[in-house]
Amino acid sequence: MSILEQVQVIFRDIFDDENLVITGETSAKDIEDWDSLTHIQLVTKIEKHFKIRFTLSEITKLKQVSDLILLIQTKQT
Amino acid sequence: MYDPASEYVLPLENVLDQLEVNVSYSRTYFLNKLNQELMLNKPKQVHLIDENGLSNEIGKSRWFDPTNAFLNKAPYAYEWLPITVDAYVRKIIALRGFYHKVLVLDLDNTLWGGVIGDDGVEGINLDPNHAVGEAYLAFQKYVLQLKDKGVMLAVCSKNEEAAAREGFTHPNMLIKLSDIACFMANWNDKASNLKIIAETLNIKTDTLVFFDDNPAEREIIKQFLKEVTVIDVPEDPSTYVNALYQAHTFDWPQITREDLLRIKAVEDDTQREILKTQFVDYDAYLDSLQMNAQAGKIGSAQIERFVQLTNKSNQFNLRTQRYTESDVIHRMNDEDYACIYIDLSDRFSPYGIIVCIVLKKSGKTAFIENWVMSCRVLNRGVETFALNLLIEQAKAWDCSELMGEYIPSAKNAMVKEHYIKMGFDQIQEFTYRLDGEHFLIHPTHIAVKEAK
Repeated sequence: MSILEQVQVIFRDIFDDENLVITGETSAKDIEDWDSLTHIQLVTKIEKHFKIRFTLSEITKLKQVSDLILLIQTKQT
Repeated sequence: MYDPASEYVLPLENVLDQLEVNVSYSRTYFLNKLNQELMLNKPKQVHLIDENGLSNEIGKSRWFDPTNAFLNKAPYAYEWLPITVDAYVRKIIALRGFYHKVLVLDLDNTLWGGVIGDDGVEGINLDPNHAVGEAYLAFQKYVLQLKDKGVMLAVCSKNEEAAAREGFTHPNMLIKLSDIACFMANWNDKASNLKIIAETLNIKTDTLVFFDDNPAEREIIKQFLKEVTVIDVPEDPSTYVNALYQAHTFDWPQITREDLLRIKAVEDDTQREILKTQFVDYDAYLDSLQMNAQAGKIGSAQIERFVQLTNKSNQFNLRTQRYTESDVIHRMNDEDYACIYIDLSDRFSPYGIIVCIVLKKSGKTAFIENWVMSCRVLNRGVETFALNLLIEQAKAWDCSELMGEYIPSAKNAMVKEHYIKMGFDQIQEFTYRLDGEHFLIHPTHIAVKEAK
């Protein structure tokens, strides 16, 4: 499973929407329930799933899903 | 309302390092002191949650998450939210009157090492000079501490009864047979035995906590008695205490005198049963119990127990009204209310406060707003004794009638006919009336003891 697909599984779980499809361009604007609280859940769950930790500035710089994917890739190598 | 609040959590990093615990000008000293003062000076209805204790349980370097703190202003890592919420929820549930009362214990490889039926009393391991024996003894010691705070102990073991009892004659046994409120050793399935234990002790099965080293037995209880809390007992007896503690099943919000008295009263029930068999005449048996009671309107000394019994009684509870401490204080200070209690003793044991009634005056009517009684003193004539108190109060208020109501709940069917039995007239489906003409004081088997 690609990173995007894995992230999508997490998104579907948190937003409780089995049909949710995300792309690199997806951002908080596109998902109605994506607020500060679900954002925390996303980050926590992604950290746990990929066994990585984001730094404070990394998290604050995230703008859209592609930033997240890139960050996970860098962290994993 | 009850207000759960957290004490201060001591931070991980301390600028004075080891000096923190050596001098009284350190922050560690100050925060500890602050927590102590909070405990000593808080209003009674505020219940502190030991978040500092939770952080110690987890370990502070794992508890705190600085990134999370800066990013989300969260005081600790989100990972620990569930256990913290759990502590708050437990507190709220307990304050609403539900808590576990009985620890049901297996014997073989739970209280001692080995199998009594095979190894005999000489063969079981309770050796204080052997690491494994020591672990079982440590568990027994912890169980006895739970008993001391008011938890009832029961045994549920697959054994010949004689063999099971023989285990308790081992010279190193810390728990004695007299510590066990209900002893079940047979070959029946444990789910049925747990039901009998609950019946014998006059409590609901959902107040049982089951501790058994055998996963198959635990699985049976989980399947057939879902309401029973089953402890996931680890393989290693040295971690039994830890497992029982971390389940936090006996996280009681208060310990009243009655909690401590209950243990002895339940143990003495055996003696009462023996006594009962000596009498053909039930009245003569009641007289022989030499019951006496201190009763009347509550004062500040009775508030805590009044709130506790009122909120946790489900079966003998006419209207299932729940009161907070401030509700009770409010009624205690209001002339149009009488909060009446009965504190009972008999020749075997003191029971403490076992009846709580709230009576309300409105004009010429004295309305029974709430009437609860502990089921441990059923069939003793305590109800009649209580009615006498109500009549006296109604007369003192110059009321011409006593009104009672029965509000059915899921659990209070046993008092459906209560007011009929007490001589009231049914005037509506659930409303009952005792006319002033029938304000007669009935004889009881309970002597009145003057308040201290």
